Amino acid sequence: MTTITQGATSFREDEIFQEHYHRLTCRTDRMFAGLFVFQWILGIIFALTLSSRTWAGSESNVHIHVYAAIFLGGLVGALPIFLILTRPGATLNRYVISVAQILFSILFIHLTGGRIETHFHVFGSLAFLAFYRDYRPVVIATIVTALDHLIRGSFWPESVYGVLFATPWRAMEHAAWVVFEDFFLIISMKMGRDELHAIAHQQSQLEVTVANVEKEVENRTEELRKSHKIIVNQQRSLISSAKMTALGEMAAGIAHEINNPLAIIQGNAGMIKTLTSSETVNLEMVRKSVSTVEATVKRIAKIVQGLRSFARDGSGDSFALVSVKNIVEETLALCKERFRNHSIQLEYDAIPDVEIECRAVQISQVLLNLIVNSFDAVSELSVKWVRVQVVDKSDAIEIHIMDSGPGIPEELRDKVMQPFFTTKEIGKGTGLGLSISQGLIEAHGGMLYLDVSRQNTCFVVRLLKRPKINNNNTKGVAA
Amino acid sequence: MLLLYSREQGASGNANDFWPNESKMTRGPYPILVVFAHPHCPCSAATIGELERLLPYLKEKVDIRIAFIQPHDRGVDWVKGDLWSRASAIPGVEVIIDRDGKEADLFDARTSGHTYLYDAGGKLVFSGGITPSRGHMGDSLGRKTILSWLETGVYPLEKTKVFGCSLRSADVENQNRSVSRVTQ
Repeated sequence: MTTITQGATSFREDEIFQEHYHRLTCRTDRMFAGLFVFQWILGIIFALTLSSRTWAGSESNVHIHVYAAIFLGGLVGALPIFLILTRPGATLNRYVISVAQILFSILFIHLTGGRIETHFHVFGSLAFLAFYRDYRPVVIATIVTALDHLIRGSFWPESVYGVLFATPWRAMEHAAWVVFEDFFLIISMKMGRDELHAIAHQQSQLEVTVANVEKEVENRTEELRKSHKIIVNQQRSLISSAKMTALGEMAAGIAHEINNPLAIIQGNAGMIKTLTSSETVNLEMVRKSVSTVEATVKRIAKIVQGLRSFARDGSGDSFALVSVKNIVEETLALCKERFRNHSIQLEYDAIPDVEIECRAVQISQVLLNLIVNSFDAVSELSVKWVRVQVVDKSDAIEIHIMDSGPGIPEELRDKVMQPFFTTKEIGKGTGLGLSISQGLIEAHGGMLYLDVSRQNTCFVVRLLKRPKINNNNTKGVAA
Repeated sequence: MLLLYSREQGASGNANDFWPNESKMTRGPYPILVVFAHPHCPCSAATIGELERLLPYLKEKVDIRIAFIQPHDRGVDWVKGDLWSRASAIPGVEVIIDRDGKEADLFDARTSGHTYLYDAGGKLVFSGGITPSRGHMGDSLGRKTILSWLETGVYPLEKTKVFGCSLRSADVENQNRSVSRVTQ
């Protein structure tokens, strides 16, 4: 398993911290953008309500405070808002914002006639700047405030301190109160940053854990994939084995099925030889014998075709339109002789000539399996018959394989489809036939079920004529 | 720019050394402090504020009057605005209307917030503003002078800068200046 190094974790922790911090600064930038607009409007309101006009007797003009609030306030707020909009979260923003915020404090103090209460705007601004969790904007704001006090206090002390004569120590006293607030703000900011670092550390650790778990899951999945592949291969072998078992059980009948026509061919060949040896050749008889030979050869060819089709692995075949009649007839051709030899009546009605989309080899395999099962079930009974019926159900077809057996006992009905369940004697059945058949039919989007409404044993294969099947998805399932 | 504007003083005029006899304002046997104010001067709110701060020192020692100018083209309602209400609310202060600014002319008060302090004998003790700048409250030379006189009877300055709106319209002011030059 790949291990994530301490250096990589530390790098990721720093990366997460920067992401979080960037989001925080962007959010605080936006808050300040809103605040600047609000302060600009507030300044105009102050100017309009407190000193909207300057008077000379009964004449008046717009007060300079109104212009200052509109233009100076707008100018002070415009630069930080521009930076916030164009470069959200940039470090420079918070420095510019800190200076602009203190300039707003100075403007407000001026617009409100130096009210001591307005000086609290400075303290509020410092607290707001602390949202950045960066001591530098707070320090810059403090320096701007101190410089303002120092310079104005030196030349015009009453405008700052409300006294006529102030020593530089007075500036220091005012600055000290600001520093007093800064002290607590900086502690608070440090705690805030520490919390962000802790969150980043936890998240990076969590990511490492998740990555390791994912890697573990990946490894396990790969192992499972390999196991699944082995199982599929084994399943395929089993299916092949089951198929060959069914075929083997039919082998004797098939040999007989081929032997009979061969005897016919041999007989006719002898007859042709005799006919052509005489001086007067009865051509009519010769032609008849040749026709019989041709017909018999075709019959053998059909049986061989059925065998070849059946024995072939059809799991790689694509779904194709196939005649149901052909599938059923080719399957029955493999069985007929065996049934005849065991005096078991194999009945089937006229098979409707409909086409379905399927893998013909697999459907044939299922039918043969069901027919062989029926054969085994009735071979020892006094009344022996197996009936195959194909019913056209509009969008589907149903193939019923019914036999003269008394049906499957209720307690076994749920088990017959389970793998390795068989009631046949040891060595005769694998117990896989029905479960494999069910898998193949379900892979076709159809159903294989025991019809318990019948008095006799009856299995039904229901197949949609146009199943919605993805060829690629069914290859692994079907054998 | 704002700082320069804040420090821009108004016209001071030439205060009489003694209480003008032509004044319609009555004067008792006590020192008297008179403030001339424009009813809508935003800066004079600071003067009223400073007066409120001085009140504990002046109470029962000095009569206090605030005279609001009423130009000839304005009604009484125009005079009785926020500043009037605030001044009227100060206990022990008499607020009056100076129609056409006649009293202000007698005292040669030209800028809103101009404050005069006369002793019990009617001698001018102080003339000027009692705010440090336009519209700003806080310690000022005027306040310091008044307090000094009240405590010690000594006053370091007789005159300070006045910060506020002009009590007269521009044309009246120009007219008065012309008359003043001719008289000289």
